[in-house]
Amino acid sequence: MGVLELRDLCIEYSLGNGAALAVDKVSLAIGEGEYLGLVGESGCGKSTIAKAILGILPRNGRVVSGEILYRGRDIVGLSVAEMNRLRWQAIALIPQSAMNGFDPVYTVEQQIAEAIDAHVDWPVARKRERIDEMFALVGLERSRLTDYPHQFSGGMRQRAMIAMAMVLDPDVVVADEPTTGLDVIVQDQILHRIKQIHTSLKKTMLLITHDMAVVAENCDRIAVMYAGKLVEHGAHDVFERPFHPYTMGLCNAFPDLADVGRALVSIPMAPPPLDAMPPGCRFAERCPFATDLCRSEEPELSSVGEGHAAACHYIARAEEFRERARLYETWQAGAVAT
Amino acid sequence: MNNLRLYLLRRLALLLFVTAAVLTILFVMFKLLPGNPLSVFIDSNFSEEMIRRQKQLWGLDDPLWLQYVRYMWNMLTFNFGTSFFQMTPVRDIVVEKLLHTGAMIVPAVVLSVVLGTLLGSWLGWRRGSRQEGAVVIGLLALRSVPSFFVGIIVLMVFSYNLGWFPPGGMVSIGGHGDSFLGTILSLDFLYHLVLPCLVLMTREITSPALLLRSTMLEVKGSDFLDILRAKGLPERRIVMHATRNALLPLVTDVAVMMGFLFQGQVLLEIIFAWPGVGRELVTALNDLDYPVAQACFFVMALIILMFNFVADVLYAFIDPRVALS
Repeated sequence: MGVLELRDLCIEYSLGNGAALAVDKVSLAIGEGEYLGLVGESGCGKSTIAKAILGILPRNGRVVSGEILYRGRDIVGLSVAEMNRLRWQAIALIPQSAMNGFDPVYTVEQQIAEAIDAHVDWPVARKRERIDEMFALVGLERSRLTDYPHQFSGGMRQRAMIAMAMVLDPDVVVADEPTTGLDVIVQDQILHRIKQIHTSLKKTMLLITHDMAVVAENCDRIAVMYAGKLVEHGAHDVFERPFHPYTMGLCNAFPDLADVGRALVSIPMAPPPLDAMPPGCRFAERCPFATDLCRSEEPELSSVGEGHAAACHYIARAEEFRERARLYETWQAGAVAT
Repeated sequence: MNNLRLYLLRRLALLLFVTAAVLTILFVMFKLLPGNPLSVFIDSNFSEEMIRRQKQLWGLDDPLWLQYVRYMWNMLTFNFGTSFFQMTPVRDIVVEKLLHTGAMIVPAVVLSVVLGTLLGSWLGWRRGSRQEGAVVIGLLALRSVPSFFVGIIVLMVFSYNLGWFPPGGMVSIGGHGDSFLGTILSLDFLYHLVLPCLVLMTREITSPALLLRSTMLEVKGSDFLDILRAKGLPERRIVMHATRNALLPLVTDVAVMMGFLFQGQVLLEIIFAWPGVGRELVTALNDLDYPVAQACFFVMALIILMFNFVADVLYAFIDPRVALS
């Protein structure tokens, strides 16, 4: 059984004139000590899932149906007090925007101490020791503890955020686009830091990102989301033998050192708006292999290998698609056709 | 820390510079003023010789630069001379009038800030509701109405028509306490304070209320509030964080407001016959009481500058980002 499990999770945002289903029947499980990467374009619902897990959806967002199970217990609809007991101790968050993740008028140390105080009653000495330990873990100097967030660089702030997330030794860590807005070198450092924490502390982790390469490099398993739906998930197999054309597109959209000189693929157009979903497969409009069946009937996730599933009508033709998906022209032609 | 010290020093230097500039402008202004300060002392029957002697006595035949230096020195040491009419040191008069003005302003500001803050955060919270819209329109209307107009209406209704409150003055006739403290702690004073304080509040409450509403809205969208929630903090801690951030601009606002109120109450003090510094200034100008008028101008300007300085300093301590930029 997974430590964290989503079952048919549907999350909706109410808008001025209706509602948008941001997450549609997503089922996903993260096993003990597993590092799962959740990938997708912006607006596909991946950050919404992170917010739902921590119960911090914005006012207009709510879980319409489905369950979020933490160690077998459904945490959707828990009272604030019950949820607060789980937050940070059971499930901690490394947020998307370290830039604004800290309150600007308190020192970093005060804010980390605040997280401790909210859950456990430690003497001052122990708190200080623990915070020092965390700063060492993320490679920050302890003299910077009394600094204010604005005195940190973006990368340092994100490391301080990681220190804060780890301070209560949480059971599960959700990292929501932890490297957005940082330069590539710092991105790499941060991701290594997270990976290191995962391996040395055997943490169960969920990494949310739009970057396939990051997942390929760091995670044990990958789940691909498209327009609120889970379209494919599995282990490293997903990169080597993708079954969903969207995954194929994503894989080919990133440069590969082993295959220099190949033209990078770009998937034309943008995902459909959440409040106007097409009836069939949501990717059909952008898919170069789409048929009438795709446009009328929605494919279900079906198993394509050990722990590997994809939601495409043409799983059987995956081999052929994979070959064609490597070509830049395939995707451009698809765009013209639709 | 070094940054902070540098910032404070810079602010202090600026304060001194502007004070000197204000004094210079005052000097020039009073020199250019039509009429002659000596006209109060000089009778039309005076001979040329007597006039010359008077000028000499007051140092008015000295070269201009010497007059300027002497003036600057006296003003900066708060040596304002003696009133032409009241024959008492101007310093004593100004201090007394300032206390009177303060006695009206401070309660009004404290009440306005407390109530305005509460109202403003409520408005920020109820953003988009019909009540919010109505209250905001009401506040804007209050803000636009001149306070002397409100003052006259309030006087008419509550004093002349209903007779609930006295028509003016700070205490009843003959009811002067022995000391300033004795006076402002008396019930009689409070009774006289109600109307002017109320009129002041109708205007002053709008600024913190509208300000806090908008900053609260801004803060409500901050990412760090989500993180605080994710950390599992109780609701009141999160509200505390939000409020502390939303209060930042209010600190400067209140300090600046205080400064301006000290000089801005000329009309209100006249309407309510309040013996404050604004009314004193007008009286002094009418009487050509130069020393008093000059001192009033200077002290009012100085108070505004001081409160601005206080605002800058407070801000640097409350918001650590300020000193750096």
